Amino acid sequence: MHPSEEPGLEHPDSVASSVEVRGLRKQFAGREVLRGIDLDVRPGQVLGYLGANGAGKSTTIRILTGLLGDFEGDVRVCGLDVRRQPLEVKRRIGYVPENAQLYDALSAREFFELVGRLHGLSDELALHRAHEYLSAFGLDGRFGSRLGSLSKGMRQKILLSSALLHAPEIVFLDEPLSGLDVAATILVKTLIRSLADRGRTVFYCSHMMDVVERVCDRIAILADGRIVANGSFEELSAARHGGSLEAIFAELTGSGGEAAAVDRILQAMDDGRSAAS
Amino acid sequence: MSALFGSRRANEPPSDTVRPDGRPLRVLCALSEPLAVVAGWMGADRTAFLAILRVKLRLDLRVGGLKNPNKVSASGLALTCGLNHVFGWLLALFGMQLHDARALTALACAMLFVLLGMALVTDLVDLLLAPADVTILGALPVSPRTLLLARTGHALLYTGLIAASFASPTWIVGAFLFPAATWLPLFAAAAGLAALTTLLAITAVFALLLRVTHPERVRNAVLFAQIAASLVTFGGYYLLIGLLQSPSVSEWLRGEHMAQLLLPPYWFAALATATAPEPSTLHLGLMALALAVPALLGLAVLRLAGSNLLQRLAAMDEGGGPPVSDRPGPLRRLGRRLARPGLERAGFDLFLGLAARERQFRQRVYPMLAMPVIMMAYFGTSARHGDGSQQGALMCAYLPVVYSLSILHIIRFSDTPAAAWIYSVAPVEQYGMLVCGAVKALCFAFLLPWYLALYLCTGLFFGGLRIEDMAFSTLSVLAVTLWIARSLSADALPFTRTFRTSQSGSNFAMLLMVTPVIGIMVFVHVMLEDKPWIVVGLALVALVMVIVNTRRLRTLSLSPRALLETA
Repeated sequence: MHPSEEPGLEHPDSVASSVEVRGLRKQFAGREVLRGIDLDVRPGQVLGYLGANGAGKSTTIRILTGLLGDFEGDVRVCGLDVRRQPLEVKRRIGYVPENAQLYDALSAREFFELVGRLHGLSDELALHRAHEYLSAFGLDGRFGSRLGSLSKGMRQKILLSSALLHAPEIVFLDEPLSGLDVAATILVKTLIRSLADRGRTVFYCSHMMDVVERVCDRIAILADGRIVANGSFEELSAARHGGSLEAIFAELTGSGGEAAAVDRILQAMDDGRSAAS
Repeated sequence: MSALFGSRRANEPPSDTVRPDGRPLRVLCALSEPLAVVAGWMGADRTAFLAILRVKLRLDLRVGGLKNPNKVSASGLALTCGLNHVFGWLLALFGMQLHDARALTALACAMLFVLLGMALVTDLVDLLLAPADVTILGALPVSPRTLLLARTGHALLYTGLIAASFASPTWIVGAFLFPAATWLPLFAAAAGLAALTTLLAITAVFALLLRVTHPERVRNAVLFAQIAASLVTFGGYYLLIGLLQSPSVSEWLRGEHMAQLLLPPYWFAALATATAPEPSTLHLGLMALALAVPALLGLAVLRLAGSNLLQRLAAMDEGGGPPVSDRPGPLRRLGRRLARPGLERAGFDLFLGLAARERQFRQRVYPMLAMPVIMMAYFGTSARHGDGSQQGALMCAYLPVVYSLSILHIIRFSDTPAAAWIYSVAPVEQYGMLVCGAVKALCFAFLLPWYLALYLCTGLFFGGLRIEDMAFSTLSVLAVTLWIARSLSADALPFTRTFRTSQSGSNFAMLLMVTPVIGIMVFVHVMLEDKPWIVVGLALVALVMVIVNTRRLRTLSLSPRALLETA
C-alpha cells in the first residue's frame, strides 16, 4: 500500500507531487539567490534540503509556504499555485521556521488558541491536540507558563506542536532540531518518519547530515542558487563512488578546506598578539 | 524624513547596502562628541561611550533594509518636536502678556517639566530602561558607569531636541520684550538646566527603584512609579492651567514668596533673571537651588546606578512573570461574548493577553490611566466652582478619543514583533476580523470603565447628563475610535511592529493638540443644548457610523507589504 493510501489522509488523484517547482528564480536587491530550481516531492516522502549558509534554503521554503512573493517560475504545493492560492496552500501546510519568535507574554495555552483560531479550528480541538502534543514532548505541566519563561528547546517543542496543530498535509521544517534535548531529538526524528509513513510529506531543511542521511527518502543539495544533486542517499553515494553524506556535500558545494581555514584563523590571532606585544 | 537621515529615497526598493549617514544624523552624532568629553570627566570610557551612543542613534534613525522594509525613520521624533514647537509658540504668545521675565521663565520651565516628564515616563522610557542591548553589551567589557552615561546621553539628546523645540519661541519672544544681551544666554541656560533636571530626576527615581526593588518585582515597581509620575505631571499641567485662570493666583505667582523655594520652575526663573539689580536673599537662594539640584541629582544617579546596572536591567526581562491562569476571570469571559468566535475572538484575546503583560504596552499605556482621574477631578472641581457643569461632563465624555488614539497607535508595537510571523503562515483571509476583535477588547478594557466611572460621577460632580447627550457622545467616540483603528491598521496588525524611539509619536504632545479639537466638539454639542431632537438625530447618525465602520474594519484588507516585517 502506498503511504498516501493510509487512512486519515487523502490526496487528490490529480496531485502527483506534493511540491512541484519549475524554474524558480528569486532576486534580492539585484542579487540572484535562486537561479532556476526544479524540484518534485511526492506525497509521503521526506525530502532533505541541504545547502551551505546563504545558499537559498530558507528562501525556497519561504516561497513554498507563501511568505515570499515576487519570484519567477512555477511553484505548486498540494497541486495549488502558491502565487494564486496562497491561503489554500497555508491551510494544508505546517511550518517550523528557523529562529522563529513567539509572543513572550502569552501562555502556551493562549498561543495554541491563537494558532487554532487562525486555522479555523475549534478551541476544544486545538487545545485537545496541543495537550496531547505537549504531553508527548514532556511539557504537560507548562500549559499555563509564559512562553518567555521557557527554554530554547521548550519553545522549539511549542513551535513543532503548533505546526502540527491543524494536521497538515505537508510539513516544512527549517532546522527543527535546534535546541532540542536528546529525547526530543529522537522523538522528532521518529515523528518525521512516521508522518511520511502515514502519507504526509516532510520538507526538511538541516545542516545535520547524519539525521538527513537516516531520515530522508530523497536529498536535494543546493549550491550557489542551483540544485546540484537530487536523489536518494544511495543514488548520491553511488554516483560519487561511496562516502558519507558529509563528504558528498563538501565535494558538491566546495565547502571543504577546513584545515586551511582553521590555520588562517589561528594565524590571525597570533598576528594580533605579536602586534599588541 | 528618510532622505534627511540618509536612507532610502521615496519609491526606491529596499536594499541591504547601507547608505552614508544623512546630515541630521551626522549632526546628532557630532553632538555626542561634547557629551563624550563630559562623560569622560564623569568616569566613563570615552571611546566606548561614543561607540554605544552613535550605534543607538543609528538604530533609531536609520530605516530598515531588505529584511525589515517597514521600519520607518524619524518622523515620530520630528512630529514630537514639531508639536512641541507649535505648543511653545502658543505659550510664548500667552506669556507675552505677563511682561515679566521671571514669570515667563517660570511658566516656560513649568511646562517644560510637564512635557519632558510625560515624554520620559511614557514615550522615551526605553531610552533609560530598555533591557534590549543588555544581551549584546553584557558580554563586552563596558563599565556600568559608561553604559549608564551612554543611556543618559542618548536620552539627553532627545530631551534636548524636544526642549529646544518647545522653549525656542519663548526665547525669541523674550528677546523682543527684555534686554536681549542678558535674556538670550540666561534663558537658554535656565531652560537647559530645567530639562537636565527633569531627565536626572526621572533617571534617579528609576535608578533607585532598580536598586532597592527585588528583581522579580522591579517591573511592577517601575510601572507604579510611572503611573505616579504621570499623575504628578499630568495633574501639574491642569493645576497650572487652573491656577493661571485665577487672577489672585496669577498675582501671587508674579511676587516673591518663600514657598517658591519648593517650586522648581522658580529656581530656574531666578537664574534667567540673575542680572536683576539688588537681588533679594530669596532670589539668590532660588538661583543656588537651580545650580545645586541638577548637580546633586547627577551625583545621586551615578551613585545609585553606577554599579550592576546591566544585571538590574536584565532582571527586568527575566523570569517571564507568574504563570497565566488556565481559566479567564468572569469579567473577561463576559467580555469575550462581544467578539465572534474564530478570528475576532483571537484578536480579542490576543489584545487582552498582551495588553496586560507586554512590557512596552504597559509602560506606555498604563501611565495614561492617570488621565481619567485627573480629567474628572479637574472638570468636576471646575463644575463645582462655576456653571460649566455640562461642558465639563461632555469634555470628559469626548476625551476618550485621545485615549483610544494613543492606545491604537501603541498596540501596533510589541516586545516580540517577530512573533507575528504566525499571521503570515496561517491561512488568514480577513485580517480585519483580528483588528476588530482587538478594538472590541480595547473598548471593553479601557473605554467601558471610563464611561461607567463618568456616568456614575456625573451625578456627583456635574449634576447629570441627559440620555441623548450620553448616547451621542459615546457613539461619536466609538465611531471615531473605529475609524482611527481602520486608518492605523491599514499598514500593520496589532502587536506586529518594532517600537522605535524615533517613531514614538509622542502621546502627550498628541494629547495636547487633540484637546482643542475635542473642545470644538464639546462647543458644538453645547450649542445644541436646547435642541434635544437634533442630538437624538445625530446620535442615530453616529450609531450608523459605528455599524458601518465596524463592517469596514472587519473586511479590512492588509497590503502584502504590511506583513513583510513579520514574514
